Amino acid sequence: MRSPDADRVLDQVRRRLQARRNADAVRRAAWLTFVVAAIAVTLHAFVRPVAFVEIAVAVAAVWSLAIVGARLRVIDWSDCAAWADRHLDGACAYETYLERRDGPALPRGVELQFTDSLERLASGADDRLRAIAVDASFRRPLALAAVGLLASIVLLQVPMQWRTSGREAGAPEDSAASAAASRATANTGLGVDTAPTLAQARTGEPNPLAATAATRGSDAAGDDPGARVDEVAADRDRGNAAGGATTKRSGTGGREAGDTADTAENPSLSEAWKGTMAAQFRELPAAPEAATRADPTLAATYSQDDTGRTTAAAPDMAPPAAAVPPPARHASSTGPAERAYVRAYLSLQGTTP
Amino acid sequence: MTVPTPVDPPSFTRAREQLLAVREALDRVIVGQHEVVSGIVTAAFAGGHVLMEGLPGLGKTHLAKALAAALGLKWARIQCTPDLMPADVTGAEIYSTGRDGTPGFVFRPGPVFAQLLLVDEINRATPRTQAALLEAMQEHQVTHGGTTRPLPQPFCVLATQNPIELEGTYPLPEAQLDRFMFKLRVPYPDPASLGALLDVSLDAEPADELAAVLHPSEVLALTALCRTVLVSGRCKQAAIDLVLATQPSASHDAGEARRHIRYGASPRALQSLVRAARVQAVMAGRAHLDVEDLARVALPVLRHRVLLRLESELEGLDADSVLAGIIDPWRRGC
Repeated sequence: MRSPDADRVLDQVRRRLQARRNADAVRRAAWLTFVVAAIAVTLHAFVRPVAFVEIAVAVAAVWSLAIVGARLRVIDWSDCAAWADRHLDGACAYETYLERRDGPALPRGVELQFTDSLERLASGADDRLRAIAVDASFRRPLALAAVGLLASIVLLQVPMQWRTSGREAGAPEDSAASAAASRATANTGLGVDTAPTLAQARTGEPNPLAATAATRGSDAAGDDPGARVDEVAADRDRGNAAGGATTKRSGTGGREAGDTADTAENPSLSEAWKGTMAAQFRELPAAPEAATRADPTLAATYSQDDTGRTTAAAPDMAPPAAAVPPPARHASSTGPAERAYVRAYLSLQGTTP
Repeated sequence: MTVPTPVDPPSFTRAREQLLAVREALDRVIVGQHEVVSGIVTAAFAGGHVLMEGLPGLGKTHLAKALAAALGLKWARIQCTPDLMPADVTGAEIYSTGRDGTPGFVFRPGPVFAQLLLVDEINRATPRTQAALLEAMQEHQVTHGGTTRPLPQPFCVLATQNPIELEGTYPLPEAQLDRFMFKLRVPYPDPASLGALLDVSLDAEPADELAAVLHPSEVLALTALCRTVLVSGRCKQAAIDLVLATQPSASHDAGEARRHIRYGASPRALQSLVRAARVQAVMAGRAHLDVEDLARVALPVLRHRVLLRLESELEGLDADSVLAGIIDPWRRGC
């Protein structure tokens, strides 16, 4: 049993449902565009810089998926019949027709009546379909999507300019010190690693820790331990000279490695190697290697002469340098309370500070 | 016994006119009982039986007589009492002389051999007599003395029962209740209907003066036509859902039913639901079923097929109120 009128109505309903599905897809994509823009701005503000190209790619993906998804999902005929029954006063006629359309022939009386019912329904269906407008209100979601995209463009540009200008202002002053500090930090990792390195430098021996530092991802200069140690020493000197600049940098660009109080003077040395005795030790002349090391390949022998030779060689050694007092500090270490106490004590003693 | 000759089924338009004509004829006689009249016409053309419940004097017997007159059916009446015997219903073999003059046992048909049987106050008959009606109602035949005799077509049982004065009565068992397609409650007429009733029946007996609207063969043809109404899968599923919603043990969401119903509707209820709805569709001039047709006949089909829990009955609930809580959500969900 075939009814051209019912087929026409079902086809119209199918196109209508497809249009509604497309409209839903556009609406959904517009909302998702707004969400993508909001997420991008949030990421840019709190996590990492986001380029506008990334947003454009995400938005393009959202729209492509929405449109392709709406196109790929085929409207089922049973959905069309159910919609027609519900909205066109079909009273289950279209669903019944759909089930019987390709089935066996109906009794003549039933078919006549049923076909007549379908024709009557189809005659009024056009007007009803026109009366039921497809919800095509894209204005709000599209406006929101446009606003979201524009806002994201502006917001992505403003923080980037702000961050760039802040970095460029501090860069000329401390670029050398910063590079030295970072290089030294990368070379040594910790000051403990630097101590034997310096000792080896004095003695001219190859640095056994240089390879370790190289494997930690340090500079490429790790191949030549001697050069690396010289570089570290030079960096230390530069770091001391640029101490003021380092301090200034920490005030402008935030806190970085080497800015802390214990390593600001010489970031390449640990606390133990910055004392007076350590400085004196570093200035000692290096002893000959043969005098301080035994040959492990030879058997140990005792000779009476050896004691004399050792004793005689002792005066050849350079005398230890005289202890020097620590450098006077320019800044007074006394606080205001201590100074007030001293002033009050001296005034009680009758002396003027 | 007259067996009507089947005629060609009329067109749906003609069938609708005939059904509406029968209903209007009964409405003129039974004043103020439109729902009951519509239900009886629906059940009669769906091939079902009707149990009417109402107070005395509301026109139940009068309605049966009017229906028989409108449809041109041969009708009989059984006034049930506790001493009524099954043979008084189905018939008995008596020793008599046959037509050829030879004496012997001859079967004398009982009142059940009528096309429209009015069983008045059926709950006053003993269970044994009530059981005698089982086979007649379901199989449309009577077996007596090893011989099975078919009942005339169409065959319809209209039974009445009184909801009060229950002393000395035998409530119908569930098996027999299930054989009635509809259970109709006959309400008390409104005042306007009472005035119209006086106008109609004061000087005459309207049921006796009612002319036949249809011939029994046309009744059969209409019944056959109603069975050709197309039922879509959605309507079938809706009917199944409704019947299952009355089952407290079903997996469907029937919270209301689970609270109040002890036993739900049977599969026979499902058949009755769709058959009665088909007549409603023909009355609406359609050759296909709609869910609304099912909704119109749901209550009379289901109200005597659900058994309420004792607690719910003590709360004052009846089947109608419980089923209303099931049918309304079902209708909205379809």
